[in-house]
Amino acid sequence: MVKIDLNHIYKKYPNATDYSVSDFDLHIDDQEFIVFVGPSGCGKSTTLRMIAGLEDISKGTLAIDGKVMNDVGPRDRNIAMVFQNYALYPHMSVYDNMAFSLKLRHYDKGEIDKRVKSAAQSLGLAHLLERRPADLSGGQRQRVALGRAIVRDAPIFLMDEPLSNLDAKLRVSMRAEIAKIHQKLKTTTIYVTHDQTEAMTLASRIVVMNNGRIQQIGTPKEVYNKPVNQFVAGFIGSPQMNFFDISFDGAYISDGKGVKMRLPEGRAKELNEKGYKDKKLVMGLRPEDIHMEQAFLDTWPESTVDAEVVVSELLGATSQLYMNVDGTEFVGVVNARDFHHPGDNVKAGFNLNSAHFFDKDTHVTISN
Amino acid sequence: MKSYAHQRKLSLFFRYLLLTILAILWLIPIVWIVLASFSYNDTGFISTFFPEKWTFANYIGIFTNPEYPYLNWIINTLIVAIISATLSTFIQISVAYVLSRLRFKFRKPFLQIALVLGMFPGFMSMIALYYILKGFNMLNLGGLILVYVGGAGLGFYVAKGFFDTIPRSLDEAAELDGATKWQVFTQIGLPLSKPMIVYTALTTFMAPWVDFIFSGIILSTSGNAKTYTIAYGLYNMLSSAKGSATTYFAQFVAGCVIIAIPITILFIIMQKFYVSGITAGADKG
Repeated sequence: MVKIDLNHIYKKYPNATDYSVSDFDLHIDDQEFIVFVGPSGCGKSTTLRMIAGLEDISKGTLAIDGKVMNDVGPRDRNIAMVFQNYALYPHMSVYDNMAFSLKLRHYDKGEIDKRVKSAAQSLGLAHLLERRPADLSGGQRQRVALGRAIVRDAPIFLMDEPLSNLDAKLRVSMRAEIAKIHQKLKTTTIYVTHDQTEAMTLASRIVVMNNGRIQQIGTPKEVYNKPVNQFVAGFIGSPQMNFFDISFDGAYISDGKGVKMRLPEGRAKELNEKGYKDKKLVMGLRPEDIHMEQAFLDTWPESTVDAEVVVSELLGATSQLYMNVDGTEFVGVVNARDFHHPGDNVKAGFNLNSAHFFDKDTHVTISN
Repeated sequence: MKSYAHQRKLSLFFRYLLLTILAILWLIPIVWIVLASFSYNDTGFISTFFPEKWTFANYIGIFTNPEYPYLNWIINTLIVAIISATLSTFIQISVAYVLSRLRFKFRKPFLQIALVLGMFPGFMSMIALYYILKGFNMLNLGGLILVYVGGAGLGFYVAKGFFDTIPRSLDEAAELDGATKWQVFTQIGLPLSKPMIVYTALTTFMAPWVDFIFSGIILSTSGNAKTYTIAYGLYNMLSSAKGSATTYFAQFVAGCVIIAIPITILFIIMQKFYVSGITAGADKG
């Protein structure tokens, strides 16, 4: 059982004027897989390093199992960490790399051997134990780094963008590997990434960060379907959510140019109730909520636009169409059957029941 | 038209030609001095490149010379060089490691001051050092060691550059694995810096081994030839006694050849530690 409590944590680097991390408040339960996600420089790695003890905490407290850890050194926090660049000891064999922490903790030889071999077995490293890191491929080095964390049997795993140095294919298979490890060991894990796909696929809860602040904490589903603001809506999901600057007259939305649609009654009512009649707001629509099937266009004739295809990408089962309507660009993911060539004029239907609305000034979600 | 293969051969030819010429230029003085040391003569200067008559007499002569205790010089120099190499390497590596790895307030100003100080040649301080050591009654081998070791800390720049290339995440990983700062230094930092330690040891050994300026200033006062180091002693052979320049020239040459031997041996032994790319594989590479 392990519980991690980050109570209103702030981080300010010496000589910096602004906080790199502000008011970070998060409570992590046993066996959770937490993913910090956000753009570069949003403070996610800094937060992870504060948990590891590699950075001082400027303000606020970090508690593990109720014990305040602010002034406990990294070696006494009993945390295992996987680094972005693996940080393998180049002068040691794979075996010694994995055994290093156990040797420092004076485990007896048999126990070390047992643990290293069983971890190596499960990671497919058994035949590489005598090699040096320099003789390994990127994927194998990554496995050694994971193995080094696993043998420790530490109650907390921290992973700092562990897959970002791997090629696309390897990344997918290692992602599955990490998911498997977590299912098996159930170690409480905090994982940092800028890749929203990794966040969506691995996390039990996602922490979306921007500018050193938590934007939203939630399950992948919550974060995807109910983003709390425009930043989260835009960051999670690939391709990105489309945004339209629109005005609302009580029933219709319009961007003053090519987009003019009638909102479904329920959505219109909600916006009216919240006082957004005759106001400007931002509408967000996921690419998969843009339809081109004839059936949709026939059913919702009042929520379509006439657009021109700018770029079209056939991905096999689906095609991604980048379209332009009077200067506003948006992307739709449609069935591969609805593939169009650049320059084609097409009719695209917007599923407004799934649209998200954001306040134009505060960027906070009005309605999901 | 000349083919590409032809051009490449031609360019390779000129490269080797240049290297050969340079090699000859560098080797000639060394070959000459080695040959001269085996050349028999009793008239002073050696006039032929290849000895007319081969002999070991010069080598025997320099070790048995009653006026100039060559063996004492070697022992003195070895003692000074070994002690100061050991101390200097320790100091230099420590200073470099600390400046590369730890962060403290005075770090930046210190680096700048060290850079400026490094621009002044060491022998600028010789008069001051002479009077200081004289005041402490240390115009002897001990004082000499003090001079060599005293400045060692300032020679940290190369080693620091090397430590800087070792990823910090290695230290952090080791710390999370449960290592103390000292264990990080001894089990991660030191094993990875073997090439650097060897390089530092070699340079700090060679400096006192061949130094003439400081040994001359500090040891000359005593006037006791037994306390000299090799470089100063050999110089004395040619300069002090009247007429000895011609008498002892051949022995002087033999003495010079002998100096080169320990350094050559050191280089050969330590060469294998100059492993390139020892940190390869720590990173993604």
